[in-house]
Amino acid sequence: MTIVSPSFYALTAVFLLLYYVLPGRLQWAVLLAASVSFFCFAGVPYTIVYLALSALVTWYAANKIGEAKEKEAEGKGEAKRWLLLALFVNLGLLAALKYANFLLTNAGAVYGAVSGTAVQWRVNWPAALGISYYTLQLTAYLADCYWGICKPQKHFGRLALFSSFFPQMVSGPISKYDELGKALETEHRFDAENLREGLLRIVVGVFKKIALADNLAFLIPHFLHADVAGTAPFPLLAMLCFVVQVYADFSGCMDIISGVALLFGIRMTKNFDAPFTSRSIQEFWQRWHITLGRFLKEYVMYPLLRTKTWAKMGKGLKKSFGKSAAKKIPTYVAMLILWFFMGLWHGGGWNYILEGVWFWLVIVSGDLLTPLFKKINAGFDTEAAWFVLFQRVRTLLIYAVGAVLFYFPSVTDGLAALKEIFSPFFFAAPEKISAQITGFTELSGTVITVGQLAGMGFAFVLFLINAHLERKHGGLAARIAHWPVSMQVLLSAVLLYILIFIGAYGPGYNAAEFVYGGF
Amino acid sequence: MTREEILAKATEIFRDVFDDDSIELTEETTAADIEDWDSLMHITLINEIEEAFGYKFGMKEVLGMKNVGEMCDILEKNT
Repeated sequence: MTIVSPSFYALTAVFLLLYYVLPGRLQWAVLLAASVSFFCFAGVPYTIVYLALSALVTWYAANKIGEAKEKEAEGKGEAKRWLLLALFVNLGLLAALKYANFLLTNAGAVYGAVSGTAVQWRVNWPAALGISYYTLQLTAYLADCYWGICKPQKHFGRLALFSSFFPQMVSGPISKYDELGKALETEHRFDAENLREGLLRIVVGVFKKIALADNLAFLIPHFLHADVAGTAPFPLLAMLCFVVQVYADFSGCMDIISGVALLFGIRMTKNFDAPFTSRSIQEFWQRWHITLGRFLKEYVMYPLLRTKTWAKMGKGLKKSFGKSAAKKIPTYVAMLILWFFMGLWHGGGWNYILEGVWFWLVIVSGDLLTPLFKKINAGFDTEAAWFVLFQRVRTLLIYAVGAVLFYFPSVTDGLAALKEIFSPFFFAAPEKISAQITGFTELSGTVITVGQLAGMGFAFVLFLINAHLERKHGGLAARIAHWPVSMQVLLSAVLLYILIFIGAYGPGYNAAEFVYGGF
Repeated sequence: MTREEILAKATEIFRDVFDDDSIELTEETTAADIEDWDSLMHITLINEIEEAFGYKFGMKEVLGMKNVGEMCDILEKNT
């Protein structure tokens, strides 16, 4: 069961009915039952034990932290011990289930290099559905209890629901207890407005996923086909397709998740805010997967910068290299750790880590070169439309480089692809470019049909329209929400009609896994 | 320390951290009003304020402060 399969909506409908028919005080239990059912249908059922263990340990430790904090100064050490114990169990489970093979492969490679005997160490431990999301959410909850930002939830069932709320198990967002936990504690009455807005978001989300993302995903291997290797436009088209695919896939998924949650009267934390209108990559990461960036900033980078080690680093640098170095270098080091984890969170692979380090490199370079940029930019109006457009295209290309590294599991393949994408246009001789264009024309009639290329163009245009709407109105669904209901129904019907004709599904086809569902 | 003294001392620290003598703090000043005050510089700024005022903020305060006025409230209560 995926969140675009009919069975998911049947399950949602059944629990939605129970949610509003049964007394309000039982709503949390209905949602917990829905979450357990979804987990068992969509994931490997027995792995719910891992989720239950994390929820139980978190619930118990958070209450112990709460009790210890009431003792004020003398309870400080005790609170810290409970925090560390719970983090050890939760993060240990995540490390074992998600990263064991990454660690074993690398350890095997080192062992092979030293001993001269090639070994392949692997384990086959299925991870619990949504483990990367709920582990981080529970980590934030524990830290918030420890820091006094929120009060521990005394009711285990309610904490279990906060850990497993079913719409967000596939791709997040990573919510704070004060946001989602509080909303789940509140009783919700049926609201036709929520139903309308929720359904609209679901239609837009399913359209983004099945009509756009999955069709683009189908084209990419063709553009990377051995027959066209080294032919200039194809690797570039593959890269652009992947950028639009990941965006349509992930933001579509978020539309569906927030839509389903809204049917139950719950507003999820915003995870996207017009990322492709960003003027710098730093701004991009404040608008793309917002809740992951927020988690890493508030629960990894800030606590690191507040440790004695970082304070000492700053003081040492001030003595040896001056004030400016003391301000910048400790932050850059903490950021490198943040970006390492940002990469690693996506999966156990060096390509993901390299992707994270790439963004770190761009942000740090940008920060170091700020005085130079200020001098250059002093000569013209930096708010001029052409300059804003230039900054947006530049940001998209920087992101696209990261996306290419993300796409290829092998770092060597990713770097080779980048070389292919970016070198022909700058270094190829005119006759070579002409030959490449001829190759493109020939190929578009064979491997890839003209219809498919037109579909790709359609997806790109929708992508640009959506980026514009997101900036102005908060997205396609939010924009349509202001229209008269009859127009909303009409547009939904048009989207569904297009979906039926160009949606990537049918006999022998299963909707592709969500890109962010694999994390 | 009076509120005015806190604001004046904080202004000096802000000017030093952001290398910008034109900074004039008010109670309503937020990160959006100062060009270089982003998430990279936030903790550096907090650390400098702590050192100057001899008070260590809790993480709840670090993450919860919405503007300079709220920072002054905390410093006024604790220094």
